[in-house]
Amino acid sequence: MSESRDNIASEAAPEEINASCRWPVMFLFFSAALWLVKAAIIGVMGSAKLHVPEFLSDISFLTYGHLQANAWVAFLFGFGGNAGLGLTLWMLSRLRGAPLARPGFVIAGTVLWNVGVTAALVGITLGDQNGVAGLELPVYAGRVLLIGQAFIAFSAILTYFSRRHKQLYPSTWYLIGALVALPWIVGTAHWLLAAAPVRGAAQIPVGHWATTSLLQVWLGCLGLAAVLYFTPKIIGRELFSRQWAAFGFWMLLLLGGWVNLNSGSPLPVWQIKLSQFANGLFIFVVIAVGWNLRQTARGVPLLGSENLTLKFMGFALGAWVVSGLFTFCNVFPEWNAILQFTYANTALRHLFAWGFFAMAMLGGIYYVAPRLLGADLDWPCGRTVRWVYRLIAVGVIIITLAGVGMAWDHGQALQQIGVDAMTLQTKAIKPMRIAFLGEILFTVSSFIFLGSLLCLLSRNCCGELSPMALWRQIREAKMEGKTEGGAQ
Amino acid sequence: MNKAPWVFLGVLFTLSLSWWGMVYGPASQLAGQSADKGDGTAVLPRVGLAKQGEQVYRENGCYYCHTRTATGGEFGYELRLSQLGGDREITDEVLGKKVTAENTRLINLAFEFKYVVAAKKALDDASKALTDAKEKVQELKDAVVVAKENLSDKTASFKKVKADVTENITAQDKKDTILFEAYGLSGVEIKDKALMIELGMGEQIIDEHRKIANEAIIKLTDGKAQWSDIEDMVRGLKTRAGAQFKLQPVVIDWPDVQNGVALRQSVTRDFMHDTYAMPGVMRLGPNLANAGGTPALADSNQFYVHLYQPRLINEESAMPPYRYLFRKVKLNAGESVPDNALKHADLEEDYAIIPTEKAEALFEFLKSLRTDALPEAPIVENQKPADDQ
Amino acid sequence: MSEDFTNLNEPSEPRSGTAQMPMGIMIVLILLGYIGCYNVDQWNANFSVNVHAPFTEPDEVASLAPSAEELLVARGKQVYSKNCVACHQANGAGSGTDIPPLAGSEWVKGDVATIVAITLKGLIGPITVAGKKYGAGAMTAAGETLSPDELAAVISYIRKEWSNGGSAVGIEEINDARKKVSDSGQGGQWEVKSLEAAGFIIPE
Repeated sequence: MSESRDNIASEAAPEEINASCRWPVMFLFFSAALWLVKAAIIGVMGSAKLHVPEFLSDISFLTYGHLQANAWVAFLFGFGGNAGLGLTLWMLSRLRGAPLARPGFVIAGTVLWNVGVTAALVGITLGDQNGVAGLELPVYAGRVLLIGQAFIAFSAILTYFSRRHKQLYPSTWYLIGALVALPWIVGTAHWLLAAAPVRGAAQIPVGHWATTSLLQVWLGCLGLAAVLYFTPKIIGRELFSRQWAAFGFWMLLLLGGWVNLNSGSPLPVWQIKLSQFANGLFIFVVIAVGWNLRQTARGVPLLGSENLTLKFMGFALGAWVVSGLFTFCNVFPEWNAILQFTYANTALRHLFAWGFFAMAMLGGIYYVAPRLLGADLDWPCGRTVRWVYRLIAVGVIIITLAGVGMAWDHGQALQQIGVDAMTLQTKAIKPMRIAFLGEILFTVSSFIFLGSLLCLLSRNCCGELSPMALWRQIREAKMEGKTEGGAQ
Repeated sequence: MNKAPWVFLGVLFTLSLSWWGMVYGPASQLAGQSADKGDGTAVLPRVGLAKQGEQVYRENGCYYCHTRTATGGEFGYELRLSQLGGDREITDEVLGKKVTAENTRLINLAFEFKYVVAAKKALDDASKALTDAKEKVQELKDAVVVAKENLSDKTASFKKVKADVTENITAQDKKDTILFEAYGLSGVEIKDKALMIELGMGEQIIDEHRKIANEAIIKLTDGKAQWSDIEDMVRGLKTRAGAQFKLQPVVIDWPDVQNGVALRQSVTRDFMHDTYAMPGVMRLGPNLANAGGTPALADSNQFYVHLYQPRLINEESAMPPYRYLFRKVKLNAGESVPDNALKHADLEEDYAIIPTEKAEALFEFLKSLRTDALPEAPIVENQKPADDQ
Repeated sequence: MSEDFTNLNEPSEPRSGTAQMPMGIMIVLILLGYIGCYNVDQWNANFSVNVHAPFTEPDEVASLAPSAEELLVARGKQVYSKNCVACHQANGAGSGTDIPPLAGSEWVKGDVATIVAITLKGLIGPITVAGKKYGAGAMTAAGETLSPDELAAVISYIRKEWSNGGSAVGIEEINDARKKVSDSGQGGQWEVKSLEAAGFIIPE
């Protein structure tokens, strides 16, 4: 590589980049926090319906089907899209050493994107969901989302190609992967499942590819980009190996859409074999990413760190590895045969979505948001944000352990002969009851996060007039009063 | 990987590989699948109410808690030979030593039978030719002699095998039927009464015996055989020996079939005409792969009451009620209950609960879900019915 | 709003290191990839769209399909339900004193040429079936519009269905019978007498 320094504009200062990102990225972050709250609340309502059948049962648009689809769309596109795109823009600018290009496009794109998600939720509520579990986007909502993303991607791609920084850090690969994957996946789902649906049975593999790719490739790339970026950065080391990172990246892109197809799907055997093959090779993705980061953070306890961002990233990495191992386990058809029609798939999706993706995004936002807004890098109520981490962590652990464990019991009962329907039902509902607890924890933590973000905004925008500052003044005045009183 | 455009192109390329494997490949293959079942019928699309019911099923998200897929399980093959082919040597070679002594005797008898009939036919032909062609009298006379000798040889050989068989078979009723089974297996039609009598089959084949002949099968395997064990035999029977047989899968450990969920595994053609394929997510409620074939849907009132309030049918059911799929009509004094209103002792008396069109459509949709036999997925024989448990 | 961004308090952007992937892992990967590909190659069922678990091979699925005879009879059922069912009923019982049954009928089970002849040209009663006399009901030339395939299918069906216990009929037998019918020069419907006169075997 002999790119002469002259051809490349000099790197922009981090301060300049932060300033260029400030409003567009904060807009995305704030939307993300709002959607997270909505997703969590709808999720809890849906979860409640599973074991309290009479709950809201007379309202046709609040069936479990509607709520479940809404919760997932709100999480995936509302939270995931906004937070992911926000971090993408910021990380790309930083890693390319260039200020964000065309911030106006980002603002317009974010508005469109949020309109799209809202349209999706309204559409699903009215019964327009498309019948593919995990990707229920109505036709029109998918179009708005694609246009919105195109606006934001325009800015991101311009930033990406500005080439001020010589080395392309691995996170940028993942970010570009996510940027390209989203329109591809949503486009495929839009054309082949909703606008001009392919014939019946063909929708099963197409739907599987789309939902799995969204999870493993889109969310996976976004989350891993954040983990790969923030972990070495905060520890202050370089990433262990570029080669390992590249290996993991290409394998993830190739296999991400193929894994986790149920062995009992009504599909020709070769399609199930192909998925099984991908499950087996997925262990290499897990090893590549896990080993790379382990070597990078050798000797540094991520979860035990004082730095909250590092804790978030550590948990995200752990959850991703566990989820990857579960994916690998699907290489054994006997294993998959037991878990395939149980709550386990939903529990593992929670593990991936909340334990890995949300953790990585929240950690990123926790790091980035104050830097965008001003010089004061502490969050106004730093202790409470820790509870976001703690509650989600506990929720994820509960859902994963109880959800998968009890689902295993249910799956085994399904494999036996002559188990009566009520026993099966009891076994099926048990993990959902426990998971309900986890979902409540998610809801609480999402509220705390939204509150904290509001406090941060108000402190930096209103300065001494913000409610936080006022509260602190009052408390300090009281304390002073007390100490004065004590001294007398 | 420091060149930005290359990474970009690489991402496009890798994603296209993934897309090709799981989207383009399967979709183009399944899109071209034929609906023809091979017997002049086809897998038919839903029409009318049942088709609308598909939308109700989707709208209400039924597919989250009910799957429509029956999975495969462990099974073995019963190979049922119903008619022998023409070539004895090839048949013996194909079957090898895998056949029981009793079946071997039956097969031998059937072949002998075949030969006798063939010999008789040759004699008839020759005799006919004799009367027709006067110039070749002598030649044909010889032929007749040869044919006669052949026939008596074959008949003797047949009688020998028959004697051997009847000696070895102890059960009297089996003794009576074995001749007719051999007749069926040989696949020849005898139109010659004298020959029937000669072979010991009585003056005419009475109906019952004709039935025995037509239903005669030899079970070459016992329902435990795996495909790898018998594939050579099956190929041989089909392509070389020209025999007629049926390969019947028999359950060994196949929970979905043994629990009465379905009669076979679900296959792609079960979903081929669906507007939205909804194979399902979880089995929180019963699997609906064969809903239309179960007694639960035989009575529409029972189904509607269950949909209206599941706990009227089953107190512990965790299914939410779908009351909004019904109209509740206040009955004036003296007004009679409409025919289509729900009938259940615990419903309020002054009201009539009437299913809306959506509820009716859902019912029709569920009725249309069946696991009837398809050429690629025959009905699996269930040795242990669920109610025996 | 503070415009002071000088105190970022953060390390510089991360860079990636140059550690190599160990050769061992490459070998394991190639090995596992090989096993995986071998596995897919073994069990892909030739990428056939018809093979669903637990079946494993296209050949196996082809052997599971009904035999030619079963298909013929199934097809015959379709033909029957289009052309015959109105008079002879789905259960083959016929109706009243004019339309004789097919179930248990010696005419159906007997000589193929006879039943083909009746199907082709129709028949005017009276006729005795299963020991019972049937009146002057006239059967139309229902089989004239059928192709030899369809005729073979429907004749096979009625001969095998309802425990009739007859054998299936091949296309050659049908063609022979058709030739015999056309040779006889019969124009309109048969009567039992004319049928006998034309040399068809009449069941006793």
